[in-house]
Amino acid sequence: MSAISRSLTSAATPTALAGWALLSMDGLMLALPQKDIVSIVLTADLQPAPEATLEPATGSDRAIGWLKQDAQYWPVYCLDRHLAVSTLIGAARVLLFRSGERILGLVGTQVSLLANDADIVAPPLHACLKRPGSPLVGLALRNNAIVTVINAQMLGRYILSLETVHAG
Amino acid sequence: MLAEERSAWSLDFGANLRAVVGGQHLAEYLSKPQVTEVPLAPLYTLGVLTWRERLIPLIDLARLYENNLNHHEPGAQAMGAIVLAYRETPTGSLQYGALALANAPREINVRDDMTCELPVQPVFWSAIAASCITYENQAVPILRVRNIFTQLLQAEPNNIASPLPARDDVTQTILVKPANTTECQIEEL
Repeated sequence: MSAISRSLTSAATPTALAGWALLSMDGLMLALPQKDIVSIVLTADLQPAPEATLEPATGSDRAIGWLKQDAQYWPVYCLDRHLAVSTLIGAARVLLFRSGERILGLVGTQVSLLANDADIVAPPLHACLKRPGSPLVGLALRNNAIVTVINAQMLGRYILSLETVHAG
Repeated sequence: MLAEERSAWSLDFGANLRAVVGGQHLAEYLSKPQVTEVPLAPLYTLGVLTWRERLIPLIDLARLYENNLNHHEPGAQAMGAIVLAYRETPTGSLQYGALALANAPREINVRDDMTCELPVQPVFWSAIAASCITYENQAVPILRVRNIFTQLLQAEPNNIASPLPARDDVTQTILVKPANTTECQIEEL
């Protein structure tokens, strides 16, 4: 796995990291807390579904590829601007993030890092902007662009809920 | 003695849906707002507007009423938006939200003797109306502005904005029944 701008091993203490990771994808700019980021890699590192001898993460038939981390393969997804599962078009980066006990990947065209929590200030999301189950926690303006602030754990749950709907 | 008149704004949402807000709520009317969609927002929330260096939600009550995805395309030329100010609590800071309009708002005067029963349909009036008046031979709700933006609204009993895949922590839509009143209540900011 060839880490690019930064590689954050899973052994790092999550709470020690401040700041944000910004992922650009399909016209959206998502911000996830750096403490939840495991690593940033190239989509070229994506692998096909793991062999049966390797224990795959469960319920991941909508993944576009897999990445190995901590001796386990984790699914990587491509989402569009509506946060619906999409196909891999033009994405060059994978953001691996931790959601509870799982690690998931999300692809995008670009990833950048902000060092401080205060680099993004997002007031709480209006209730009228958020359906139950949405991982969005805020919206912020940064350099005249809208940043969509995401809770990593909720994003993982949301993606898995898409798997459930698809399987059902 | 003449009944006291108060300033208000008549809003036309399209789809034969009208309402009134107290004059103190109106912050600005935008004739051609630039709307940015927000992923996973309810269908009746068109997105957000960048207004005075803030991001504020834009709600289309006609879409909520019709539950029709094609009623307004975000950023459609014919759509205007009114920016409304409100407070979540009496001592809270000013908050802002916007409503999509089919036509520019009109300033009107309202009096207590214009009060009437709130229409049963659409059901979301009961969640967002403070009272109701008869205006131009039509029952027109007076909106409690904070209730529009601080809760998920329900369209019709069998016509609910689609939730995300079922989960355990689904929040209940809050329906607030306005108190029976003979006054055309207009919120103070």
